Amino acid sequence: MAKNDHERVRELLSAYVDGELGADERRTVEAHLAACPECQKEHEEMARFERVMGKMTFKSPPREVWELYWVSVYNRLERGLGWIFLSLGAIVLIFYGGYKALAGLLHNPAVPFIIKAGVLLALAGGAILLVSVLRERLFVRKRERYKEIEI
Amino acid sequence: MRQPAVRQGELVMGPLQLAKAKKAPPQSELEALGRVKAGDTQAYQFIVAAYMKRAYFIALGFVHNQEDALDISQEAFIKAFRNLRAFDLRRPFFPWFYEIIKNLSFDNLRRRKTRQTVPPDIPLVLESSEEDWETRQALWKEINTLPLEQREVILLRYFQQLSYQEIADTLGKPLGTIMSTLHYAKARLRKSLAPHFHRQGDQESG
Repeated sequence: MAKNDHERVRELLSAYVDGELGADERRTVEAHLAACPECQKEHEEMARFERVMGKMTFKSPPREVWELYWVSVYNRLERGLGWIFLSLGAIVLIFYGGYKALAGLLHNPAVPFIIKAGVLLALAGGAILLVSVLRERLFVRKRERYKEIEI
Repeated sequence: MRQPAVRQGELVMGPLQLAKAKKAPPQSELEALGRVKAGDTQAYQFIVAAYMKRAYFIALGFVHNQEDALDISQEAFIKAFRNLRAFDLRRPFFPWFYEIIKNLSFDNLRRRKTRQTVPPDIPLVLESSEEDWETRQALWKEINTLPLEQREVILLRYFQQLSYQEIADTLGKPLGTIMSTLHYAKARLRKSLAPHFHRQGDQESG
């Protein structure tokens, strides 16, 4: 029984030091500790480790950072919205302008057929390239996200 | 005492809510999230105030650079805000938010790796003081050699002071897994510290 206790306490000791054991398990550990010098030593070393770890804290930024934090986030939110509207508007205008220019060109009898065909082919090629690049960015990047990093 | 720049619930006027009347600040995280989802941007201040420090320090734990950590933490709030519409309010907010911070931190590290930036000094990241400073620096270096799942648990336990259950919830893993991961991580850290402790022990007795 004592042997079993010893093994079990070894497993529980880490959680005991962290104050994460229920009352029953805590009593088991404490009873065993009182009688086992080996576990006592282990417990002391663990407690010492916890004391040093307890002193590990990150450096705090100046208080102003917290005071201005929300304003900063809010401004970025607002600016993001501004960018979205601006880009959407620009996309609409560019497509409309492009469509008008293309329609004008194709309907103009003065422009030779070879130029019209060239413009259409170039546009088709551009569209295929755009879709291909977008697909690569959206799918390949997602899958390989953290492969090469080690931190 | 100096007045804080922005008080809880105070309106920061901007084009988004010029037309909105002042509302009572939300009483709970769930209420705040619900209100943000319904279009009340100002209610998001409640969430930001509650999690800003945690967000900053989580990012700092990964990227080890104060400026980047601040930027990542704020970006995480913006990303969460934009994706809140798709977020199920029955799920806890923090684990989802933690995942966003973690992803942004890794993106940052990947970009930094291609820029070949020099890693920052430890005193810029850790709070320095006389006592045990050398030991703590060694410990910090050792923490950063741990495999990611052990390092995450150590960071959440000791730098965020989360309980085992909170860590399990945050990482979406069973409690038993967290306990054993933490146990192995600690064992490895203690082993690496043994020479430091012995030296210190000699000093104490001598």
